[in-house]
Amino acid sequence: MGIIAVNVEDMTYHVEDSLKIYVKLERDVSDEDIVSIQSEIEKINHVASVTFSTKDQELDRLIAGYGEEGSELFESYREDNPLGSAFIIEAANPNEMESISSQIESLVGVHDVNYGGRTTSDLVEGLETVRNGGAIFIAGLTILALFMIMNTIKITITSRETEISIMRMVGASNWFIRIPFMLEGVIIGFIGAIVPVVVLYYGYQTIYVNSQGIFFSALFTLRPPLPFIYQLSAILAGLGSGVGLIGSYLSVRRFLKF
Amino acid sequence: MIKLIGVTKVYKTGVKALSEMNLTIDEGEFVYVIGPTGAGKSTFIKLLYREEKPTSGKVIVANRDISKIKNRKVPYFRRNIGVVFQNYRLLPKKTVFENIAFALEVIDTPRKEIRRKVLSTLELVGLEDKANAFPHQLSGGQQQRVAIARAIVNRPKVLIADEPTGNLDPETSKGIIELLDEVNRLGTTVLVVTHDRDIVQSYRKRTILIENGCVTSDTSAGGYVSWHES
Repeated sequence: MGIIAVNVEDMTYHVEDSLKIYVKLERDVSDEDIVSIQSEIEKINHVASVTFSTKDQELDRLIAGYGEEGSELFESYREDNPLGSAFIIEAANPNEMESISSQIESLVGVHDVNYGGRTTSDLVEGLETVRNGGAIFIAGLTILALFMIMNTIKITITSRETEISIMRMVGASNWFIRIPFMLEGVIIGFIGAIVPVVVLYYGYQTIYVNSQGIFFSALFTLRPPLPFIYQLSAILAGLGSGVGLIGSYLSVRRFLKF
Repeated sequence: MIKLIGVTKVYKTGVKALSEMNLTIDEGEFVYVIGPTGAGKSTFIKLLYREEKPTSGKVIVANRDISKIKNRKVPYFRRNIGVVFQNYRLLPKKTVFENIAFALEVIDTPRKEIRRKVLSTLELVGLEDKANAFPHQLSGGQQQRVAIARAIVNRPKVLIADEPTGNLDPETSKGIIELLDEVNRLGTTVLVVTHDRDIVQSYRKRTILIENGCVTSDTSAGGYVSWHES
């Protein structure tokens, strides 16, 4: 679950990063109009940056986009460029893309506004849901593990109740009684973390190698396994031990009330 | 050594176990506490080792007001008090030596000292040849001697014995009382809660009768005091 969450996190930022609004202008827009359109756009809320691209730059971009065949196909248009100039706008917040686009669309001299459409913002929303859902799921599992460890320790305590009552009778301090149980809790939690760590170590590397680090499309790259796996393993082991420590502390506490 | 001033104990269930109880036991005394079932003897003992706190009044044990001892300080207070029960409460999987040593281990006594103290205490209770036996291999009287050894091994100021002879035959009981008397002569204040008429008659000591939550008779001459079963 942790792996998915982290990779989704990466992907979301990756996708969010590439969210730009592409504004094509009419071919016959004058230079003065361009300046006024730019200042109009800059006034819109949540616009992070506005970059102007001339007709020629647009043609260069088109040619570059087609790779080796590009110059063959489109170089002839250089004399009489059919493209209009354009603005490339970055939104400060991906959720505002839609409103920014519709505001730009209503400006005079704008031919077309393209921001990847609803699908992109749906995707961003979808990824966000996965991210939040993952966090809730992890929190749920952690609480579940806590209760399981608490119960395990309670059983151990119950089976040693006589011993504990004698210890209390002869004046053992609470920490003296508590520490062995807490150690046991930490060990249980740590052992519990080893299984997912092993699965993670081999599983993730296999997935990464087989998919060559790509998930569905080049837009979604997986994190390289090292040092990511080690970090996540350390977190898992720490989380396991921590949950064991807290769980056993809470279990023993009930038995030590005077 | 032990002083109760106007002590009242009412449990959460509303049961009034002790009412306005006053009592003083000096250092080095040997005292029997007798009384009918439900008179408040158990509550009285629980107050002494602070298993319970008084609802009102003062309980002073070994110069300390037990109501003022914080919960986490209770273990350190208990090191002043040895307690022996009717059912011995020994750890079945530990040997006699280990059972007695246990009381010293939990209070962080150095290993060498544990060995020395346990062996001398075993000698005192007359079980030096049983050090490596397990509780189930011993008779009831021997098990009670181990329990007494465990209670006195760290030289407490007060030894409380709750029905120490309750499960034993008269002959063995005498032996246990003689042992407690011996412990008393070594300087420990001893409190024996008992139902055993013969013992109170034959080993005459100060005898306190608790009835309906207060002391109704306190005879330093000793001997059995009869009571009216309510």
